[in-house]
Amino acid sequence: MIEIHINGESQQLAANITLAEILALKHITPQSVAVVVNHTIIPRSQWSQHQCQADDQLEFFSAVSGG
Amino acid sequence: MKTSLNDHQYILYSKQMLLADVSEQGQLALLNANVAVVGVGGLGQLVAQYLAAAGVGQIHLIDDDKVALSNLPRQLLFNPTDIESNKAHVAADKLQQRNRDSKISAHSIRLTSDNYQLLFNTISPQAIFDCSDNFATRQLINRIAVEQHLPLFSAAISADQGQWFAYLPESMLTKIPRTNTRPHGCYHCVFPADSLLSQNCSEMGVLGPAVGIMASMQALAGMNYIVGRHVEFGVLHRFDAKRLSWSKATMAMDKHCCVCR
Ligand SMILES: [Zn+2]
Repeated sequence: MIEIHINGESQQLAANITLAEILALKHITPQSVAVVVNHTIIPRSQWSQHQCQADDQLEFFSAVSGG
Repeated sequence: MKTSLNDHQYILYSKQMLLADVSEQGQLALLNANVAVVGVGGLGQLVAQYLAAAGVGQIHLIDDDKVALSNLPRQLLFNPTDIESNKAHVAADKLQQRNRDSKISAHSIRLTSDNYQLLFNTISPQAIFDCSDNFATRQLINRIAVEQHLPLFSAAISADQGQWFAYLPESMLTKIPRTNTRPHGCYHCVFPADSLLSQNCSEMGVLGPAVGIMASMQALAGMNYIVGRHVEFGVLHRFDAKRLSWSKATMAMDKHCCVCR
């Protein structure tokens, strides 16, 4: 297990877990969020390959489009 | 192309030129600039006011929408007597009266994939400000920026969540040498076209100053670019209008992006 910080909260997750697996675990629809890992937005096309490391800081957020 | 300022302009723009890295050269760059502002709502009406007042030489306002009563608390350029009038025309008339150094053009059309080429070939701006109010138009403007090799200054807000970024197409990185600017992701790299938004913005509330903050950021980034200052492209800034806090993240390029790759 590794410790990962998601929107500021620490969680114990399986080592080598991917971003896509984390989203599935949390029941988040992939199309509904952008994912930030350590201050970089990871493109959605990479989520199934992107493996998380211990102490990664993750953030999920949605697009807003009002003006 | 303007190469010198008159006495009136020296006084009018003195506070801008007192900034050492703006100076007369930066002011001349503003006077010779040509920009497009897409959307003249909460964001666009303020961006346009700042750009015009700063002396930006040519400003194209693009919006097919009309002023509505519920716009007035945050769209301070508009009065009750403007209700039902086209926003681009009302804004252009008012800004033109106040700002003699700017040529303000109103385009009362909704930007679509069918009409943008003709419009942009006609107006040939050097930068785009995305002040639109819907996701489809934001995707289109991003595509235009990539295709037409234009820097994009984009802001958005729904309820208490604001987002803004500056994007420079890869094709421009070599043409405009700027330190530290590496290839970065476009709007579509961050939010692919099939993204789901948590809210429909037309149904969301918002407070006027929160919109003003986002508009100020995109106007400021755009002006910094025009005067030749360093601009941090490819960073998405998020603003929480309740906590008044900011966070930012680098926009990584998606190697599979169908827009910028
Ligand atoms: Zn892209």
